[in-house]
Amino acid sequence: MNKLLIYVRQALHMMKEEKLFSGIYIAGTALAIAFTMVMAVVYYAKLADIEPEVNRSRTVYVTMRAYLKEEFMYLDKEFGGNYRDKTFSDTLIRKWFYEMPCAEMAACLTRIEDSGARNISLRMEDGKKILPVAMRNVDANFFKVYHHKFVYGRPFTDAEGLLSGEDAAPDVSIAIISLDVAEKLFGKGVNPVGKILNYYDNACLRIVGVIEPTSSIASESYGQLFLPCEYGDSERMVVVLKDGCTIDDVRNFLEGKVHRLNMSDKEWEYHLQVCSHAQLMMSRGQDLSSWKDIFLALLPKVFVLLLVPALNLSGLVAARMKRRLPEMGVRKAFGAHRRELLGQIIVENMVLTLCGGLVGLVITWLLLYVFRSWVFFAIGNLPSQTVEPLVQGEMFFSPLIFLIAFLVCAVVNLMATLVPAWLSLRNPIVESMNLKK
Amino acid sequence: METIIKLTGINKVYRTEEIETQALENVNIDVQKGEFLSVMGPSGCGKSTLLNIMGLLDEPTSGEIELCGTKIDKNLSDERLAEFRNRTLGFVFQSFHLISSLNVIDNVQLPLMYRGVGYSERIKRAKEVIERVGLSHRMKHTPVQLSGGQCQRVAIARAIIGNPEIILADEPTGNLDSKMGADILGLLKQLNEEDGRTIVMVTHNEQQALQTKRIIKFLDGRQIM
Repeated sequence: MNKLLIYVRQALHMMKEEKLFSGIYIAGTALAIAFTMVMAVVYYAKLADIEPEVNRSRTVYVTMRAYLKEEFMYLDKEFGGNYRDKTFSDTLIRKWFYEMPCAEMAACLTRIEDSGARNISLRMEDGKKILPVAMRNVDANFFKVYHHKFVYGRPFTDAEGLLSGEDAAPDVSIAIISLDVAEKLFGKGVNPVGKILNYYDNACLRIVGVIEPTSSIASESYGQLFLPCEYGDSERMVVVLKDGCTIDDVRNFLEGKVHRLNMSDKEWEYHLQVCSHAQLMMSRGQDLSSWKDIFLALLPKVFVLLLVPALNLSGLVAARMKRRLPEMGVRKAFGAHRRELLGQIIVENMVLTLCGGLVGLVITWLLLYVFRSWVFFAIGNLPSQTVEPLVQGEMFFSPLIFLIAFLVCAVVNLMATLVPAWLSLRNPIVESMNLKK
Repeated sequence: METIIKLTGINKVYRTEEIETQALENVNIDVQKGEFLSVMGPSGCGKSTLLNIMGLLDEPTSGEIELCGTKIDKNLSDERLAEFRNRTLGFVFQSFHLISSLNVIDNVQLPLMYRGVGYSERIKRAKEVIERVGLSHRMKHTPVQLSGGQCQRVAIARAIIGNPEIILADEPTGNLDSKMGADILGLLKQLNEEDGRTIVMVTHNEQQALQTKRIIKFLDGRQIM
């Protein structure tokens, strides 16, 4: 057993003896770690390549706005003015996006929040069961860009997924639903492929596929009911970049196309908004093309989150160090030098930090499980009108995220410990030892 | 005879904003190897200050210290001073100064731990010295579970485990009753006579001082005898 183990044993003994100090220290560390972890998990869930949004790091979103040409010349170009969000026609989608050289694949989709998801109700053919669902119009590529797992049936074919003007609104449209919706409507274990559902205007839907439910935290791919993109539906395009291509390649490719469109349209001035997944999730104004940018954007929040507990811990450690000065004096008298004692104090505080980390992990899980709606909608700024978010898999526990959050808190604790400890260890030996007397 | 402690022209002045106190004034002491020296004097006469300066726990305002033939440079680093204390000096304090969160064996092995001695060797030597002070049955006890006399025995074991040339004892029997005090003094005498260790002991107790080989007396920071 070496020095380290003696320090650990002493730290555990002191934990028992100084319950109040240890309790506050552990609780403070646990809360700091929990809040940091929750924040990290929220942003990890929003930004990392996780199922089904496995291509986030090379995903680019494109939307289009149109301004009346007469008004546009007087507009503040930066802040915009009177504009309309425009949808992409099936021709534009095919020519601009499906044939884009830097795109591995591209898909069109509607945004759930704009679809008034809760207002769309599915009815069984006999009208007995009615269920509000989150609906999205998508093309066949949507299921290639986003890796939804099919429990039954299949995704849309290319022909089914993007309907042109004359194909739109057939008598019986096709649909893909999520398994939770299928189970609520048809019961567990029933394959609903081929069954017919009604929705508004008594339109009929024939189910061609059932996907595993996904979390609404993956907000761009989430949905409970997917219908093909009809004419005028395609309000957002998602492009998965080929290896080596960048968002600027998409911008450059589309700029020429938009210019030609603007030349030919006398009434409207078109503008494209191109952003990465991270920019879409955080702030369009920020250049968030790498994890480093994201980390730097989050740093101020994390700093504020950890500063208060760090200051409190620092005060606690200072008070404790004052109480322990006689012991430090004795150790110095028998041959310990300041760096050695500092090492001991760090080990002792790391034991407490580790305990705080474990408690923090439990608090994180509680927060992510019990208060998941609040956590993801308040901190994550995700749309709140959809269903309660499912926290699953990597979102719930990513060892890397825990390690990072723990290391960040450990470093903060270390700093909070080092300063008061170093200052008190500079005290003369005799003065330190005489405090006991 | 070999001089093991040599203090030359030692002065110690404590200064506050308003007052200056001369704790030691031009102290010159030579202690020979193997000596058992008592330092006596009334409270506040500078005995403990002298011992702290001898033990490199405190710095003199002026003067020179030589221990075991090594002149102590004022600019010696914290690490070098710590190492010197660890190898050359052993301390026994009036209030024991045991670490309450460590048990007897961990308290005793402390100097060897800071010397970098391996665990098994530390434990072996700790057991030997604990046995020597008669506390083999208390190795796993913490200081709060021991009597005053037992605590002082542990403190002596800690002082001698590193085999230092010099043991500095600051009123080692001051907190003990007369029987326990006699016991501890007997132990110190044994260390002096059998092991040839040099011991400097501060004491108020004349009876005990008379049992040592030499007595020096202090008054108001000056050596008067």
